[in-house]
Amino acid sequence: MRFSRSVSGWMMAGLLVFSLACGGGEDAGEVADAPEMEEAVVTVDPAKAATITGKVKLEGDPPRMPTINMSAEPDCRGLHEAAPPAEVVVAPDGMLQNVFVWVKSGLEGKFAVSDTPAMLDQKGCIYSPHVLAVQTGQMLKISNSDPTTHNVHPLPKTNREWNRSQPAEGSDIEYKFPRQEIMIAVKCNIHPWMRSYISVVNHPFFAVSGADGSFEIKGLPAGSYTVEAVHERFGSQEMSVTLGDAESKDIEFSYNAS
Amino acid sequence: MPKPVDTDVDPVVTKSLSVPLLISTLILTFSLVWAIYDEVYVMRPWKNFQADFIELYSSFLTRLKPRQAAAEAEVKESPEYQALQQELDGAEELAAQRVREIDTVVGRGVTPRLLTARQTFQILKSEIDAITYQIETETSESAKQSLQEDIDKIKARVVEVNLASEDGSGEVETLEMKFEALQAEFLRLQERRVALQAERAKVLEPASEIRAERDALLANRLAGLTAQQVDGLVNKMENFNIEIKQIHLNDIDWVDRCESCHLGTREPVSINAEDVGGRAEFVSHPSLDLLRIHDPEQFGCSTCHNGNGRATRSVVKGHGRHKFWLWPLWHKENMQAGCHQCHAREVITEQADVLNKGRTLFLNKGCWGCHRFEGFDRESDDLAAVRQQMKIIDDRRNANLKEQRESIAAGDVVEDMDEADTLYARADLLSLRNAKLDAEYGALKVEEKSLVLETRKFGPNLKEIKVKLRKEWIPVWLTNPHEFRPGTKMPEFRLLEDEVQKISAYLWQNGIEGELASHPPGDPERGKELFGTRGCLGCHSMGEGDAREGGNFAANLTRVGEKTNYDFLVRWINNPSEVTPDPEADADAPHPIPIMPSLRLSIDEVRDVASYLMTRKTDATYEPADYMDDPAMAEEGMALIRHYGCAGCHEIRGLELEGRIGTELTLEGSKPVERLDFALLTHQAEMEGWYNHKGFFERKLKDPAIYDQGKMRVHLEKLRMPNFHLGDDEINALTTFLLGAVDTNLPAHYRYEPEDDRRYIQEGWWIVRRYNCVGCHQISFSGQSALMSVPLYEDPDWQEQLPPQLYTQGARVQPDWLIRFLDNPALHETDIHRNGMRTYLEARMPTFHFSERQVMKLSRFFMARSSQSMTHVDPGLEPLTAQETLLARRLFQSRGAPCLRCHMTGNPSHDRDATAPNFLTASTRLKPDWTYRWMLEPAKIAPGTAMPSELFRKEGDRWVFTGPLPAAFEGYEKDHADLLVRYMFQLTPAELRRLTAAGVQ
Repeated sequence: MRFSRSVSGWMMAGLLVFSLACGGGEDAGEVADAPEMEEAVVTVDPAKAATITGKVKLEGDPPRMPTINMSAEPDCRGLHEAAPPAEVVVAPDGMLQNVFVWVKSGLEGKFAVSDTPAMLDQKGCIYSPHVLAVQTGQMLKISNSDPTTHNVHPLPKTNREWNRSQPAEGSDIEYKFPRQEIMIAVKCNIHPWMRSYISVVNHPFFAVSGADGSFEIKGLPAGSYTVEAVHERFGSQEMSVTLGDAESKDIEFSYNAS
Repeated sequence: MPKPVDTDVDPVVTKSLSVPLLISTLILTFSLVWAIYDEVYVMRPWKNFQADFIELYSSFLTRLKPRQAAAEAEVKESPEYQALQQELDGAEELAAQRVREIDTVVGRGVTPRLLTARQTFQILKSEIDAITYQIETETSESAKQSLQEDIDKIKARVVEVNLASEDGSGEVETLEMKFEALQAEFLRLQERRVALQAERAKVLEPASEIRAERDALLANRLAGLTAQQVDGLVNKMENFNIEIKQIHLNDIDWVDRCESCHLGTREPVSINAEDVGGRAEFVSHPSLDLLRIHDPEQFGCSTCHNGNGRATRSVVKGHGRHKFWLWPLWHKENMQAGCHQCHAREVITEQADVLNKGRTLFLNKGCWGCHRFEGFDRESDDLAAVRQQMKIIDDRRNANLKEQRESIAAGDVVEDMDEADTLYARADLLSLRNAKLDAEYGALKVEEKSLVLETRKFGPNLKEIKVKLRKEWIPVWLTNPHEFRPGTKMPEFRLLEDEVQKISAYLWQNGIEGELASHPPGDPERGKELFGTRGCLGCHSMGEGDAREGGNFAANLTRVGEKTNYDFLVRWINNPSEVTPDPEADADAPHPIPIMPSLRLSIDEVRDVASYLMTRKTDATYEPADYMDDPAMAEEGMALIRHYGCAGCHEIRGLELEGRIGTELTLEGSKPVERLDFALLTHQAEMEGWYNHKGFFERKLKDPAIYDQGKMRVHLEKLRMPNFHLGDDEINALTTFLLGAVDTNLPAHYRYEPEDDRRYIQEGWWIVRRYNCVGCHQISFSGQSALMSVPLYEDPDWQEQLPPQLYTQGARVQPDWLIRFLDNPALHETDIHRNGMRTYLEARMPTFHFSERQVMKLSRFFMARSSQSMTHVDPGLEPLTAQETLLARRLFQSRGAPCLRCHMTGNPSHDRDATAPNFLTASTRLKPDWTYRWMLEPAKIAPGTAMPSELFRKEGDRWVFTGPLPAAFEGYEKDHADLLVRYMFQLTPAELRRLTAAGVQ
């Protein structure tokens, strides 16, 4: 209760009578005692679940892919028949691999986090897979199958950065990224050519294009979505997709190599 | 005829006064009720606040408790806690048996026996003590003798003593003893009891250590309070006394009653407004850290926040936001103004980002060119002080010399030899005193020399104008610098066209004539790359609008090709200290150190960069400006330059001795508001509620001409302050700074003016800010370096190319090394076109041509920030045994420890791709204790470093290497990290060659 102090005494007296008669109004804000609601997890009826399938294409001449010089690490060099290529992987028919595709917007609510851990392996001084996606809070296990020591060094912007050493035969590094962030670069400082990209997404609707450039996002509720494709070199593209119950749509992203 | 008086009508009888009486009674009653109500509630609004707070906070605590209890339970169920709990149970059980035994022995045996022994012992002892006192006070020897005999008799007496048995059976034995024996028994029992109690504590020690560890784990893991602690707070609310909450500072008789309403301020829980029904007045203080440093019981509230700490009658009065209170509560966005009064020595105050920004703007926008502000004119103030001191010493030396001569002369003539000796001795003493003064003078002379070099005006030297600038560009620039270069530090003066022409003419005709060496063109493509990677962007920016990259400390170079010429750029980039010889000036006169450092580029690189910069231009055309050669124009220009105060920031020939034209701002915040000239806007300001310092500063900074509004003034009488085109956050920061610039009435011990090493931190920041070390390095945790925001460095491949973080630089390097490095970052006399330490970095640590004084100050700054002394004592590392050398070598050569893959080895082809320094430099550069900590947890020292963590794991008391160990380590029991540190510090070039030759790397 706050009182104006410039009112004359008699006015106050009058007000006093009034306020006494009214029993003195208490206006202390009622505190909403609502318990903190755990946001309900959205479940999608499998019979109504919609699907997005598609392909990612690379138009034009694919860039000449440099090969990795692993001479500094004979242990790894020996694990490859030929020097492996870096970066862009294009199938002979122009299909682009390692493109991260996800539902960027249009979803509402919270989705269950997968119990299955995502795996990232270091083999022959290459990350496998090269592009990986996990849900926020989903376990990521990073293993070292090489006879040499690596260090795993993600370079996120919104998550916290870390850099851990992992010796040969060392136990798996386990980590859960708490915040959504797309295409976090992961590097090994010891083997500077090693690079992987991890995307952390708040929901389970994402995919990475395979060797034939195809991807599939299943289990979506009906709705209008913005689907984004992100490639480490060619950048991002967006597309709007509207899905009805149990509908399946085929879309195509196309990058230009030049 | 007069009307007869009706004597029968007696008003007392006939008229009733009951109505007036009733009315007055009612009025009186109402007045009384009102007076009481006013007294109890209206004048004490804080009572309602307190009642509300109790209700809201209790309800918040009740909601908080289950959450905290759940979190606490979660911690308690964690394996770590459980393990400790088990360990504790085990330790307690282990100790329990012995503790019980001791308790039995002490409780049943020793203590009862001791008590029974004491009864008799004390009687005898007091008898003896009484007689001893008599002996001490007795004067006759014979009496003393007889008293002593009495004592002996007592001691010889055999007494019966009842003693409880020591085995705890409860039996009492009766013994016949003399005093001495009884005393011995008594002391024995006392000692035994102490020994047993000590043993008990020792037995319990492991358990109490584990308990402390367990509780610490809970405290660390649990965010916030335990359920029990929350209960304590609920209890506190239940027993809350509604009363004035007051802080009284005795020493300055300061009273603050702010907490009568702001009740959550010091609560140990973080309270947000939404936790307490949206009542912002009940939140907890946003930085408990600050409160720890400035305990409110010692510092009060309104000392920092302003407002009227005594007033409790209304919010407006308490906050002092009315015209009768001179120190109104700072507005939220200016809150840090309160820091400056006590931290006036500093340019950087921890946790005061807005204030720091304001001070840094004042420094780096050159406000101090026109406005004196104590502390900002550091070099010339220091120079004046040093010269003053030198003068005093000189006077004293002369006085000493005079007296010395007189003493000798007097000694020569006196007859008495003793007197002569005294006079000669006096002369010798004075001579020695002068020798000491000579040394002091010498030190000051060195300082003076440094200061002369450091003292420079804020802006560029305009004597160089003819060699540096394109003639026609000058009037364009003067007309509006912000149109040519948005965001430039050169402010916009409201010059008329003819003023621009006259000023240009004077400046041009007073430029030094000089010939620049002619250079062949370089490769602009290569220059562009160098510009982007050598570190230029730490200070300079390139591109405008969204395309802008780099720091805002120095000029934006997007159109630099329009204003200057290639040969000058080559000279400037190659050596910023080089100046065109001035035939009129003293040839030996020192040239001030430029702020722009030398990047030690090779001459080819310099030409490439200069060629690139010359391509940075638009196709703007420039009008010919022949009037600039007209001497008559120049003559008028001189008066204008004087009028606008150009020489406050620039060296201008003929105006070297011009003073500042602005008002001093050191205590601007304390200036009475009537002395701030709101001019014709006074009435409007009062109506709109901005007739105060904040309102004045904000509007003046936004539009420096604002208080000319409506005035009939000729052009030259108008306000001269130019427009800096500041952004809103810059205006707020500067306003905060100026508001805080007050004549504090707090006594000296409130001010932060340390005389120990912390002073070096305060002083060092001035140099760090003046030379923009933070453009490339992260020195304090808040804020990124300018380079970090350049897109190139966001590329994962370029992150290791960022210059090193310097959070713990003083703990990392030895002071001697740091001094050498700051003096010459190439660490080499001739091979200079590279970094001295991290040759792999494309960005180059520049040579700043620091004065001796600056190098020392910077080194002290870094050392003090890490609590290190300026003297490094070799810690005497334990020498490696032959076996240890072998072990360390094996480890370095093994696949498990790829250290030399990133660290430099001295092999140029390898070092090109390295990301860390050469181990050979460790012994002269690093401190072993830091190196040890670094190897264990590098991310703790430099977040984001390329050096991986978890290279070692704890095994008992020692750290062991995590990777596979060479077989030779079997049986080696010492700390592996320590072994590697010792190996590194004893590494020889031959040993390093041996490591690299093994071919693993």
